[in-house]
Amino acid sequence: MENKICERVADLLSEYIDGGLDAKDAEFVRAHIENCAECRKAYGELLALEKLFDEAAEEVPEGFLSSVMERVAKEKQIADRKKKHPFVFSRKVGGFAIAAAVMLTVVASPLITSVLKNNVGGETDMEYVSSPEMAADDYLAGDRASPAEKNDGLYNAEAEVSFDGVKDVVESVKEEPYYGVDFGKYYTANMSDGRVGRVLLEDRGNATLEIDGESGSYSYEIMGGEIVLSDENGKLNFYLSYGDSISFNQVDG
Amino acid sequence: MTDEKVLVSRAKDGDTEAFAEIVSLYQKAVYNSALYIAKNREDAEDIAQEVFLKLWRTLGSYREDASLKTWVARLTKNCALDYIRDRNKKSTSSLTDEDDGGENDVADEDISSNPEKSFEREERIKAVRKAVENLPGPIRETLILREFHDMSYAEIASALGISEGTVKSRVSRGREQVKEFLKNGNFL
Ligand SMILES: [Zn+2]
Repeated sequence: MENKICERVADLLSEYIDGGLDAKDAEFVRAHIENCAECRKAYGELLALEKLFDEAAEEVPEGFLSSVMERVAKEKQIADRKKKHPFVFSRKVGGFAIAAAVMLTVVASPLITSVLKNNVGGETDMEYVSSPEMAADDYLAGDRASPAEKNDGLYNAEAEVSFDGVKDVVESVKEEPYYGVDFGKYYTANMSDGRVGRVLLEDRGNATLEIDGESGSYSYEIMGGEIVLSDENGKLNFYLSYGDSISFNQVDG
Repeated sequence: MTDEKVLVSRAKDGDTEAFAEIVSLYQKAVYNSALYIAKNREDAEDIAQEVFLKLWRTLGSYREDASLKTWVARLTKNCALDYIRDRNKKSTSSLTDEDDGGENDVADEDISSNPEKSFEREERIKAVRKAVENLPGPIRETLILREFHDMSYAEIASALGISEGTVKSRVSRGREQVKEFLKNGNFL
């Protein structure tokens, strides 16, 4: 059996069907699947899966475009009026509220609330003026630094991190919101050797730990100020505690 | 200039017809991502509408060094965040609907509004939805951008602020997991 080669091909197949491989790797995969029935089957399944994804994509509901355009036309009208009469629409920034009612309904420990304070929201009477909300939009659209980076979101941690028994120093930890089917929070630890560890805690108790692109799925529990991550067979327990700093510590399962 | 760039620059000047063409290009991708977030069509439509309103409002600050695809993906993420934040607010204020995801799930729903679709096809589509919903969040998010927004690895990396290597491995693992799920249910 060409086990090692098949494994390598399996690793490359997804990128192969996306056309992302360089010529040499692409030729390697192409030649191998021509001769290896098993890998050819895996390749066929992947192509079939792509068709299923296409099939599963729904058309937008009827009238979608026209209702979007109606709302756009209304906004345009207001903006045009604003241009003509610049003083009619005063700039009023209101409701500079802290949107802390968000997520993690779990335990409202002081530690968690301090993290949530980073979600600064706000409203304006006109979307065209600059406002905290627009700043947040700009951030998400990649235009500005994270609001979280400007205050407590970035921890200058002096924490120790230990993955697979290797200790490392965390330079900084950043917390940011995450969307998915569940709401969640991402915690990113930048380690001194340049590696990046990220933990995503989703609202319904799923956690994902990623280090250097490798990731594992865990469930998590919040106990006191600590978040305990454990995997299915209980072999690995990570716990994440945070206050002034965040540390990831591996402990025995 | 590409056609898309022409459209963008016209829309920036307030040309709503050009903007409508942009919406047409992206509506399906945005709507389908929203479906995986909201899991019901009504909310998905609301989210998708918000995305395009935000796009209209932020066109002025859109610099063309990022692709429009990436920009739209970020706005989708932004609107999804708002939606989930609102939903969580609502669900904490009423104790009864802790799990309102059950009956309204698109994955569980009849697709009988399209009678020409065969039963097998409906079942297959539901299975794909379930499989994607079951993925861990980061993998799901990445795979959706690849499969529904048709974004390149580089574009996804830029939209999510992760490395291309991470994108590749998430896409590959996501596909593998969905494939296994579908094979187990004899859909593949
Ligand atoms: Zn092989």
